[in-house]
Amino acid sequence: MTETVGECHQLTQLPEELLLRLLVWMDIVELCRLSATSRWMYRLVLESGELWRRVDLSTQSLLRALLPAGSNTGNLSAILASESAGAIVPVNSTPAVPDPWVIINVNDAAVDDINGETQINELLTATMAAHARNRLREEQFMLFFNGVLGWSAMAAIRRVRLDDTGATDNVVAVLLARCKQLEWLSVRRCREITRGSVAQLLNSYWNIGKLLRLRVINFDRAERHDASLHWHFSNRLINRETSEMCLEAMRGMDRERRARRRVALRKKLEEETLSSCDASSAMAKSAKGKALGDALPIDSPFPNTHTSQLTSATTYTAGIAIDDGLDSDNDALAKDENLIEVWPMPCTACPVQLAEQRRQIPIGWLCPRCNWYLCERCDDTGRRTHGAHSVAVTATPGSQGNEESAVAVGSINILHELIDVFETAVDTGEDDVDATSESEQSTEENAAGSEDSADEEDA
Amino acid sequence: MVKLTSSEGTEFDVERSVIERSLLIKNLLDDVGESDTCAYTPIPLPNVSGPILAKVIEYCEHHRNDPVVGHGDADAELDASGARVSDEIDEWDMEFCKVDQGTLFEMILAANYLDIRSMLDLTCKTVANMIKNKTPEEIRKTFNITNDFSPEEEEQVQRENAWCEDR
Repeated sequence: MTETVGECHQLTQLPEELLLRLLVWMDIVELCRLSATSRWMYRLVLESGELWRRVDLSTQSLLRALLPAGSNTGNLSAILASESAGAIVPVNSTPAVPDPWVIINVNDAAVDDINGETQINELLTATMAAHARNRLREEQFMLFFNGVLGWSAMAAIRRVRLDDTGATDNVVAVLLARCKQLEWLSVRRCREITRGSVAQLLNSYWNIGKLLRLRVINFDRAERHDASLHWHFSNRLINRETSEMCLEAMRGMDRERRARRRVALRKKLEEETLSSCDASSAMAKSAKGKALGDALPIDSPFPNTHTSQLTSATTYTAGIAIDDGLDSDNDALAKDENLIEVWPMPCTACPVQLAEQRRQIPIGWLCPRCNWYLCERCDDTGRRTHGAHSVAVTATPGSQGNEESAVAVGSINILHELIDVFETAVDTGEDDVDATSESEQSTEENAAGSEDSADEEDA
Repeated sequence: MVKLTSSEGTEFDVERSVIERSLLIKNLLDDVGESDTCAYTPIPLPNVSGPILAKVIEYCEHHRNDPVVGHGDADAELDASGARVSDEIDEWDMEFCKVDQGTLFEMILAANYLDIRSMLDLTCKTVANMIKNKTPEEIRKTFNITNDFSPEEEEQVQRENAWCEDR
């Protein structure tokens, strides 16, 4: 016991031993603020190790909450070494190295415990102070994702908050790639996140359909949150005034674009309907393998034709009425489950697609490569088909029930596909002139993405 | 009874069971053994002034029935982020610590000297709570800390701590 003698009227007159005892009662924010008061306090806080202790203990407390008894323990190098493996890490198999981190495996049983944002946020909030001092590296985020959580656990995560953590583009990339259920991502004040790469990343994932579930991404006060980034997401922007940038699968566009898209969609459906009445025309298009975006200009090629004049047009019109999916948040939410994924979808027009995946194809889905509708029934018989024809055959195979409702279901499926395709075609470009070319590009990206995704899924 | 003498020579008579919350005095008494000597021989506490010793005795009397906290229980109150929980202070304790800063710091010193762990924690918690929700400038004012950073250093520190501002 150190004896302390004399009077003490100031905090700084307390012996260092007692000040260190004081620090343990402060959280990270208080520690950092105290360190900013004077040189001596700065040194005291840094050298006390309390910041690192917070990181370490926070990690441990998180893990204690997550892990069943008897879990393995390991270290940073083990996790990093396993980066390429991308699996839960057999950390006991590697020699221990001195490291403030204690890493413990997470098994599948823990998945349910970490699908909220809170626990993840606890750890990352705890690490951010050190990161602000340039002592945490991107690898340590990866460590957390790969080693602590593991892929299987990440797939179950729905909400992630990385505010103030110094998360990087790569961190976001990992999250987007692995959190299949991700619905909500906040990266406020993450200064390392750059405009270009994240924009590209999000656009890429958007195009290949992985972001269909991502409802909100918050970029508020990211370091390079500039006009360009703002523009990039303007198509999907919900609330510009608060600078809260939101991405949503079906309702992220502003009113003007919504209106344009609605008109275009209606005309597109008319065209589809008409073209379906002309089988030879459809087959000709199919033979050319022309992208749907090319074949569907906003101005209808059939200006004098009304949908009610067509046999199947009534169904489509009804589909629009039923399934607008743009104006109501709740509707859009409800439709999330119905949205198509752009991958993987084999098509008879694309011989490279895997035949064994055909059993996974919902009827009436879209081939990302040729942008052609796939009719399972016709595919079975070796015919290529699309558009309205698929409506006629997308009644549930073998269904003996109400044919009209079955047709309506098929039309809704197709409408979803049309919306998605047209959204890609129209909204990825700054204007309609660019839309077609961008649609082609995104089609290619979709195809590439679908292969990648298929590979990843297979793996 | 045990007789204690403060740095000014003021004598305090305290029940042994009360003052044994101080591990320093408890060990001393244990070493001396059961005898009448300690009742008549004051224990000098030259590092503790009379007013502070009075506060210490007041604390010990109020908490006489509490379990004595030893050094082994250091991490008993850690929160999830690793910081100890400083919010949960008993109402009596809170009132007890409503003293001027100088007294509070001397109570910390006395609790440390007399090895009264729970009182040391209480007083440290109180100081930590005084820092809560304050900006660095406010902390400086509260504790009369001189800002000796150069402008460049201060800017750097502010940059480092930018994440914790405006939250």
